[in-house]
Amino acid sequence: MNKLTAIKAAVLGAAVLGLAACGDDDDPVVTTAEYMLTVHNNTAAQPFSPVLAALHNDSAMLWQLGQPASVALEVMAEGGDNSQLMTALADQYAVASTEMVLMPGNSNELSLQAELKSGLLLSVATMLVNTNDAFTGVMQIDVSGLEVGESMQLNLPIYDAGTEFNSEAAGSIPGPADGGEGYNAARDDVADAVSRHPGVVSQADDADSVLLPQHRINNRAGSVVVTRIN
Amino acid sequence: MKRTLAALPLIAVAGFTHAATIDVTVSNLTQAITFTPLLVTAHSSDSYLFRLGESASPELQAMAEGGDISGLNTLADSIGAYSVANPAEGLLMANGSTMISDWDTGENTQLTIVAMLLPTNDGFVGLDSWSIPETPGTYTLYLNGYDAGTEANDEIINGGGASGVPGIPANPSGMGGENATGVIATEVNDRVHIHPGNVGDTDPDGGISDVNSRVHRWLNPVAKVVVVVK
Repeated sequence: MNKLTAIKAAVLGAAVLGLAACGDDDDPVVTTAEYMLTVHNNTAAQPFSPVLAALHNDSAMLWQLGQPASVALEVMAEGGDNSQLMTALADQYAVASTEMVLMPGNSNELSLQAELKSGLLLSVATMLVNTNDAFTGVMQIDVSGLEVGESMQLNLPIYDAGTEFNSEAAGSIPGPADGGEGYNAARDDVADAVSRHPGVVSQADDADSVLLPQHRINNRAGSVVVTRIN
Repeated sequence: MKRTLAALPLIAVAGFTHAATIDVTVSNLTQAITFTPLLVTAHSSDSYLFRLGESASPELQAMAEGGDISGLNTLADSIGAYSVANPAEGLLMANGSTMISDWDTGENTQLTIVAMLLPTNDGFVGLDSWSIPETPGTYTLYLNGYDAGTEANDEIINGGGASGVPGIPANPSGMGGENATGVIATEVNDRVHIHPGNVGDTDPDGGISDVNSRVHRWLNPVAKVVVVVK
């Protein structure tokens, strides 16, 4: 099942749950929880595409290690365009995106609010734009246990969408290091599956790469600090 | 409020005045990267010695470019921190470890650790303000290599260790080179960030780098820290 199908199924599931909840007259208090997310880009030279964040139920899964990326994820991971992911998550509890690219060394804030319930999950995703199809984010983090004023810090591992070969060739990378192509429907990676990213090679090791030593990445790209503010 | 434990909801602790006695063991996990004298310091949550995404202080710069921890140690003293400077009594070579035993951290709640990575221009291993747990037990942390953002990673070993002087001060593990032309001429990110890694080359008599690409690269983590709270 591809991810979009999974997300649609999740939406249907949520609708069914919503109907069930309507029949329950004993539910006295609805608490709306508000979360402030501070996203930190701690890379040397990898801008983040506009950062998407969502609160959702346990059926929405933005990616799954070892499984093919959804087209919506591919569009973000290859070109930094999160609009299809936004659409896919539109019926979830909350979804938001920053407007601007998040430059290295900087941080950006996003707020999300949703009815507090057990199993309230947070996902975050953004592209490392000086790559072929690298992205970072967190998936299905349960934030329902956070009390008002509490925070948690989540590291941002770096993934490869598995949708575009890491050629690092001129014209293949949308970020400022190249100004090349973003999304391309072809799937020509070594495996059509999301994995941890093997790293950037750069011109230091490959004369055909358009990327420079500073575009290389290590185990993580930054962090997200999640604070429940209400 | 920054937290360094990943993916754990952490309760903000106010007015925490528990005096702790701890053992701290720092191990160099790399194959051939040397740590300069470590500064291990326990301090209050009001201050910190470095932070990802922020500019390095002159004291941090002196440590990261030249291995000089005296400025940071003085800074720590001035904020009431309890510090152990240079527990390894010199360099901590690859695969080496050093232990601080029965260390009374007083009422200081946060643990910070730094040391320069050699051979790098301004790379350092760092732990920023880890909250020392109240509960007795053994806690294991893994530390990343950071870039102070104060000097271009030219990878030229020329003895330049003073702040603002280009080049790498020393290469204690050997197997390097000389007469390199330089990997990069400018610092690309002037805030503390995750080090993109050494590039190196295989030419001991020239090339772009005096660092050996087969020896002096690393992947995070670069250090393991075991804290025993007694």
